[in-house]
Amino acid sequence: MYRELKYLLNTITIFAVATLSIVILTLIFIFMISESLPALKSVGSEIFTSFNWYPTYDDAEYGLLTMIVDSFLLTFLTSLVVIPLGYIVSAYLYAYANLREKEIVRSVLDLLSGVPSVVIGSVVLIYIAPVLITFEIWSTENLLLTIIGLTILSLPYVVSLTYESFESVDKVLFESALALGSSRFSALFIVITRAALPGILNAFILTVNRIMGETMVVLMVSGNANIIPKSLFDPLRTLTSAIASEMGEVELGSLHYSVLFVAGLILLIISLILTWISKSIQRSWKH
Amino acid sequence: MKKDLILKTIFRILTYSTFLATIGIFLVVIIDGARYFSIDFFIKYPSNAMTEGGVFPAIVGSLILISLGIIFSVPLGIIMGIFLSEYDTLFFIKPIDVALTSLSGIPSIVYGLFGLSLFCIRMNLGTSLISASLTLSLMTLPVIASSVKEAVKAVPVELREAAYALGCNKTEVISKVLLKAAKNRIITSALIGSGRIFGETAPIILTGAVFFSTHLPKSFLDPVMALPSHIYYASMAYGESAQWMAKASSALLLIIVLIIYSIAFTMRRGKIGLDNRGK
Repeated sequence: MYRELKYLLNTITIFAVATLSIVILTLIFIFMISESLPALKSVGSEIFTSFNWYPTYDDAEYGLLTMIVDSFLLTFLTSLVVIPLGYIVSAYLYAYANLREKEIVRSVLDLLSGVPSVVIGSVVLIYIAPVLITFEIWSTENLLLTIIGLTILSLPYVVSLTYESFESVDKVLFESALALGSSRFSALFIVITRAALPGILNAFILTVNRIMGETMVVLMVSGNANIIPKSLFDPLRTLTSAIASEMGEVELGSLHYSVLFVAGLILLIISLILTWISKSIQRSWKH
Repeated sequence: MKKDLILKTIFRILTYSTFLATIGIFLVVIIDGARYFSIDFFIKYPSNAMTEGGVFPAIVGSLILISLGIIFSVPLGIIMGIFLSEYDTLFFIKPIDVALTSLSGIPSIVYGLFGLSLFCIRMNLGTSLISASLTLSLMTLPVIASSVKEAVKAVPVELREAAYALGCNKTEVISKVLLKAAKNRIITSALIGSGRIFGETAPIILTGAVFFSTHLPKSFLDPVMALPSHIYYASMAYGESAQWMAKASSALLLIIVLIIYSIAFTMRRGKIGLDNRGK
């Protein structure tokens, strides 16, 4: 009797906790939307169509478009650096490296993946930014430094995900390609990459998601100026850094506060779309 | 084959330079920061606009945040992971799995906003220790849950069958067999989750961290100083004279996180994984 009661209680607990994930996701949605509603109602479409962001002026303007463009631009440029680099590093580890190289490089990159983003931000700010001054670049907080910081941050992520998707392909494919006389490069590039394609695409999407949502590095080294950068040495500001830098100063419940929640809502929706794409790639692979 | 050799060399150079750059970052941060370590640095409050003193309240604050975060997120994460692994034939496993994957992709700043609106404002907890640690534990929950799921899935099916054959019911199999067999990998997941809690900055500057506090938090409703947010404030808000504080705190944070992750990865990679199952 006692045993059956315990079984029942445990099962109920497990089910209750499991549904918690749905509850949390729903709550996040409800709160993000309900806090954004005042801005969406009273400011309207100006939020998405105006480049002007003057939330503290008397005649306040709340255009998020500059930040939206900056977020996408930064994500695109960083991906352009980090994804090929990550692919090459994992290709080297998979096809050419000996066992010891694999071990060492992977352990170090795993450790790098644990470094908090605020530490990477301060590394870029304290040690790399002063180098730029010697080249007479006026702004020590700019797009280039942000890309460097985000590359350091997301590289271990790309490498481990891409490498794992290489590994998930049957090793026999690689060996038979070699036995048929193909070079290691074409065996990897043509055979393995094609077989692991869904996994690799998935790795890229998750990386893009990660770069899009990164806050601290961007907040610390991007210069936080509400402009669209025209060169690598211009400052910029993304949705994430706008939220983090301004949330501390706004009046709770004001329009400014609500617009920052709209920025959060945009980030939330982008991340859900990316997750959904990644899920459907995995699903189509299974069939 | 000559082409292959050239490509191999290029790939190798790129890999090695990435590797060396990473090691370089670790060494620069730790060596340059550890120069400023002193007893005062660990036991004093910052003074004189962050130019003197130490980071004692930030260290204590971070330790409290991490402990509270673990108390909430580890048990829940373990149960969720078990559910995903052991009840995966149920029809509503799919929405739960999708919800958890979506949660793990949501940016930390959005969790910060959510924590701010739910805990600080709606539940009236204010900018406080408890709001920050609840937000952090929500963030790590999906991370812990999905790695526990992998850990429990990896337990050989024979162990489950043997336990059922001896007359165990499902929850007994889980608590007496699976949890023990996957113990090491579950600890690894908890460590990785707590390493993440320790370094996370964006959510706590929205929900509970202050840049300066003259006393340790006396209750759960007090705001705290934390190490990562301290690094942010010291390197951004103050001038050159506070830079040593940012360097030293970064070194300290990096050392702590590296220790946590080294233990976690050694446990995962090492021979202590599944070998002692059933003990």
